[in-house]
Amino acid sequence: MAVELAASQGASPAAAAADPTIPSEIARIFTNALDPTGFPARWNCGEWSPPLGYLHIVSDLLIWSAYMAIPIVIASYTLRRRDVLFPAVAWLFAGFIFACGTTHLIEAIIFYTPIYRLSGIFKLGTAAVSWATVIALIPLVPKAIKIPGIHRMNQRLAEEILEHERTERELRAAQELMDAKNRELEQFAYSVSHDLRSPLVTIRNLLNVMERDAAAGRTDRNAELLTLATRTATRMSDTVEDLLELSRAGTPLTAREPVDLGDAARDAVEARRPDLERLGFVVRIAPDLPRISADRARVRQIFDNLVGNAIKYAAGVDAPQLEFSAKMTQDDVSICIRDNGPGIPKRHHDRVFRLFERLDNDSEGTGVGLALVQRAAEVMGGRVWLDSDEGRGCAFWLVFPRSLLV
Amino acid sequence: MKRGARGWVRAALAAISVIEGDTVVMQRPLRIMLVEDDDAQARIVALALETAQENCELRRVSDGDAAIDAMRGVLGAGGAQLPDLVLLDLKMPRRNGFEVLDEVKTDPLLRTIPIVVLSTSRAEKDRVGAYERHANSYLTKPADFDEFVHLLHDMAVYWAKWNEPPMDDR
Repeated sequence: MAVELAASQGASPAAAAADPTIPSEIARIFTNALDPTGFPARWNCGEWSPPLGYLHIVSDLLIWSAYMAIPIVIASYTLRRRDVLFPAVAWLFAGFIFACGTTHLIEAIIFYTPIYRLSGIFKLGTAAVSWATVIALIPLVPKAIKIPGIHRMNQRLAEEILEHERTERELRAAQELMDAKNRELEQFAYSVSHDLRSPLVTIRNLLNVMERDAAAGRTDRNAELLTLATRTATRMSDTVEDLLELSRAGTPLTAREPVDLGDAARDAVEARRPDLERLGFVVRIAPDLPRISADRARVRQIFDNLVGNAIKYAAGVDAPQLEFSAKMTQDDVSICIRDNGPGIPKRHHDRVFRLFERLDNDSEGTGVGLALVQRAAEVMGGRVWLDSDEGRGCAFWLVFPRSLLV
Repeated sequence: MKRGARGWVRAALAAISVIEGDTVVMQRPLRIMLVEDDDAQARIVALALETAQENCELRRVSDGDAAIDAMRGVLGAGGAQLPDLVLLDLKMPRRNGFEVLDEVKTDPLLRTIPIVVLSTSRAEKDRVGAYERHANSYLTKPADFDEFVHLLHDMAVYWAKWNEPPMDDR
């Protein structure tokens, strides 16, 4: 029997293919899978010493147990997490490891019960699952390569969150800016409708009175009424001019150029030299006024208005002074235009930059000048604030980001 | 003494009659304080009252601060010449009309003085703002002088003749 078996095992594949008993033998493998007939137990095949045999048996059992645990872990992970990438491959992996483990268990059993037929079937199953896994895996490799690692994913997520937050901030800022612009526009429309309508109402009334007077042959107050009407019409015309200038100051900057603020201050002072000399002004322009990237015309508008403001309120001031100076901080560059005039009470500070607000009845202003200063400063990326109180003079601070220094 | 509705004549419709019992003991003009920063507007109000031939005594102050100072000054002097009515412009330098209303209507000694806002603005926020601050009336300055005359005539008659003042003559 043993000799026949040896002969049969030693037959070449070509001879086996020609053997008509092969199909029935293959069928027997599957129908009698647990039949050990024809084989000795492995212990009895060869010269196994107990340590060598147990080394195999124990190792196979350990491999089998480990290979059982792994698919259980994979299966439970795949079942619990609904978002596992490539779940089919996970299941194939679990099956492949399970099959591998089972072949090791059978190897251990064969030491006692030679179920070689079952062993062969399981090896075939393992091979099938292994190749199925390989076939499923190959097309996934390029996709898997593109999937970023968890660290990279976290990083990208963090970047996305930052980006999202930044966009949200920008959106909110834009919304606030738009709300502010809408409010400004509303205020502008209201102010214009009031401040342009008011002089028209006045002029029409004065003309009506003159008509009545003319009908009654009365002329004694013509001169007075005409003066009032002319003054009102002039104020209205000034208001329209100033509004035009305000509108120009508020248009977005198209280009910047280096502007020497010292030169701009000197030009503004020079332009008003007759008034300044008449009032006995002492003007100081600090030598360290910086150069900033700005718009020359707007800087001039700002300085002209602030010099004009100092002149307007200098009447009755002993030894009037006007001073231009600069201060640097870590983030900003500030230009201070200070006078020693009557100053502005703190309770009016929130009104001074509003359109058509006038703080003095006697002044001839239209209430546009400081609104224009603010608008021009903002258009150039700066802002303006006032430090003043009654009897303490006025200090207008123009603040620009340091990044605009040239 | 009590202010009554007797003894009116057409030429002095807005005169205040002071009566004791059933007897008119005196007639005096309606005292109006006009708070107006614009000289031309102030002149028009004066001309309109003059044209309406109302018996009014018009005192003009040119801003809110001056108005409050004037009223407090009268109080300090015994209160004999407080205005019967304040005609208040809204848009003024220094203290505007709203601020005057805030101040006067929270002052226990001044808040009963009727304040009529007289503005060129028809804007809702001005009307609401004025009434919220307890203005007693809100009038828009007409562009036509004849209408201005009618308006001030009717207003003066209303406040002098028909309106019951908060207190006896002062």
